[in-house]
Amino acid sequence: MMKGSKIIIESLLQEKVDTIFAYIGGQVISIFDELYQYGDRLQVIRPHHEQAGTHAADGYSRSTGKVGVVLVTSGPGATNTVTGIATAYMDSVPLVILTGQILSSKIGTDAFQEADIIGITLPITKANFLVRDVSDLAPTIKKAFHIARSGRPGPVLIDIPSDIQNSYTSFVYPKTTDLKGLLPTPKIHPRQVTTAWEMIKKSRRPLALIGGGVTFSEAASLIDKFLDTYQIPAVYTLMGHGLNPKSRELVLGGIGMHGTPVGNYALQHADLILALGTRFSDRILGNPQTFASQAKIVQVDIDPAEIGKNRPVDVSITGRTGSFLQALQKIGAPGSNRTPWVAELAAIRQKNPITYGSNGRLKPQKVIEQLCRHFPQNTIVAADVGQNQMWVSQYFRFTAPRCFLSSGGLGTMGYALPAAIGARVGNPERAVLMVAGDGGFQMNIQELATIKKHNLLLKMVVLDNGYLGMVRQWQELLCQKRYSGTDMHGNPDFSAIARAYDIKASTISHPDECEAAVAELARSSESMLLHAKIDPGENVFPMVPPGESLNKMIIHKKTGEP
Amino acid sequence: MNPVKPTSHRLVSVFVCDEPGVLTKLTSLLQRRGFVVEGISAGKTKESEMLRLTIRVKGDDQRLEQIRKQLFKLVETVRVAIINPRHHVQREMALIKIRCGADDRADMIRKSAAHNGRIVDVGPQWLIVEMTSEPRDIDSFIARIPPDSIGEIARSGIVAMNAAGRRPESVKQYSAKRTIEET
Repeated sequence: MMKGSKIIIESLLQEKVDTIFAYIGGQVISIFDELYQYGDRLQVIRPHHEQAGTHAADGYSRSTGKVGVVLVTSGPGATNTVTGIATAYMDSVPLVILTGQILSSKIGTDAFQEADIIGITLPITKANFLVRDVSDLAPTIKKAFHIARSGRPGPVLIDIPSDIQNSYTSFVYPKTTDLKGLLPTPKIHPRQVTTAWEMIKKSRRPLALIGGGVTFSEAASLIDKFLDTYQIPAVYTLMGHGLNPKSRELVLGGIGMHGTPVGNYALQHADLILALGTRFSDRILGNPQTFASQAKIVQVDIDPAEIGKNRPVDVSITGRTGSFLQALQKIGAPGSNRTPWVAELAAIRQKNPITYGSNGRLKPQKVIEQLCRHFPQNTIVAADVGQNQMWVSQYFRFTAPRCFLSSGGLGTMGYALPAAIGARVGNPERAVLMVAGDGGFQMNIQELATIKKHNLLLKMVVLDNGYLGMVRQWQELLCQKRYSGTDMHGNPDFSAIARAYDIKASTISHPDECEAAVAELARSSESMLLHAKIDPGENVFPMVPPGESLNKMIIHKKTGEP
Repeated sequence: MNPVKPTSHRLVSVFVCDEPGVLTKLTSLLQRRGFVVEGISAGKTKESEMLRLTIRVKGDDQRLEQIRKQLFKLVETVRVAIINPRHHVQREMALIKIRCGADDRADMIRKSAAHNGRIVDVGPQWLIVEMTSEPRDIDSFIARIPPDSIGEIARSGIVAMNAAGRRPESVKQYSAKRTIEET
């Protein structure tokens, strides 16, 4: 016979989990008591807020491809994970969240630290379970990991009442799980591949649109080969970042609201779009009526519900993008002449580079460029949300998948610091860099203590413009500069804050200081924070105003006071 | 401008595992994806561990396809069957409590019999008519009773299946396919 709390840990080990992000509380004491004995096999990272713990598990998962595991107590412990779970759900990140629950017999009585976390997380989990019997514990964990990993990945929550943790049963970890309703990963239909191939053959202006699904199906190398063989230019979404070196001729750049001019031009002028693992979010479409109106669209996605959801498509292919690319590779390129199209795009790219101006102030773009120059090529960068995220996306050259961690769908401020912590925990041999704004950094600033507690090596940059910059930018352009609620007056001295946590720090505010400061940050053998006081008036350009057609890009480079 | 498509109502049968909370999961999914549900009924099936829901939704074929796909994403959903709008049988049951003294009883019995209803209980001032029929027949019967004579109405929601000329919806084959092997 084995105690429920021990069964939980043994089950995690069966799933090859070696790290969990866990915050103790009243209803998980017995699990933590067991964890005490497992120090050599299970690393327990304790954040300083359950939301941060969930983001850390998310960053761990995105950067390693493994399932991130979170353990928290009932009530507020569980509800604090909600933003983290929703973030993971929107970006299809596999997590298993274990929440303690009050005694089974007390459920529904509004007992101390009781919350209906099953009801609360219903819309933001792939599935969730309340364990009602200790004999269900191991099978439920097995099910949860399977669901989290399979098909389109996502978070799964298991709520475990404390009496279940303290009950005994025999422990057998099941080999199979009976999930009648779970869709098996759909297989690509050969006829659909042939249809797509025929369309590629006929197309004069084809374009590959690469989304996050390509990362999840580990198809990055296949993409490279595919583009080479077929000579098809490619653009990528925020989630599709890092799949290709930007230096390559065929890879044009990002698209959508803050995409590259050439990327959006290509979308609007292509006659065929191969959409690989992307759901055509509103940030890509702009105005759906005018989006890629000249193109036939072939959409490949593992989730049948995403096909044609936001944009009607001509050919829908359900399955792994990797399998689709392999099938195309097997057939081989149709040998159509794309030279004029590729040359046209190259010319557009040449004529419309993404640049920024200078006015004697420190420009955030310059900081990112320097970071890219001084940090190793396989650095993992966790960006927050807003202008900082877009500048990283535009100016940091990612050359491999799973290097750019960013809350794409939910747009969660406060994501960067804990996600970077999770990434470092999962990749102790790689450089990990956090880039956040002064707003988002203060949403999980307490995690500086986690860096210290677990002795992690992390490099941090706070791009401080004294505003919630992205919204301020919208207010500048759309609200006649009425900066309501975006002024961050009252910001602390971020370097002093870091030092208070015994973390090395420096502050810069002039362009001339930039290179040396970034070099020092990259070189530092201990964790370090760089506080960059940037031009408060700098905006993210190009920009397609929300809901506008992708043709209506604002390219202008405004500088000066906001 | 896209031409506005006429909205119609369609019936969908959903087979789900009979597990705690499954109805909540299903209805909240429909709600948060913005589908307009006009009626829902649930009951047991041939397989003891399975529930069958009949959902009446507003929308065209494209909308229906989204509903089908979204419902399928629930781990508990085993089969989603779209009911053919022409070739199907649908029924609803209603209990209607009507004010009716002894003098008017004969008239009420006649009226309800004309709509295939029957009197299932009689009190001094009220009686209860049971009616199992197509929903619109129930509607038209109710419309014939003066509103202030109607005490209360309980309707079951629609149950439906595709016509006898079509193969039965089976969940067996799906169950077998979805037992996940150790990888």
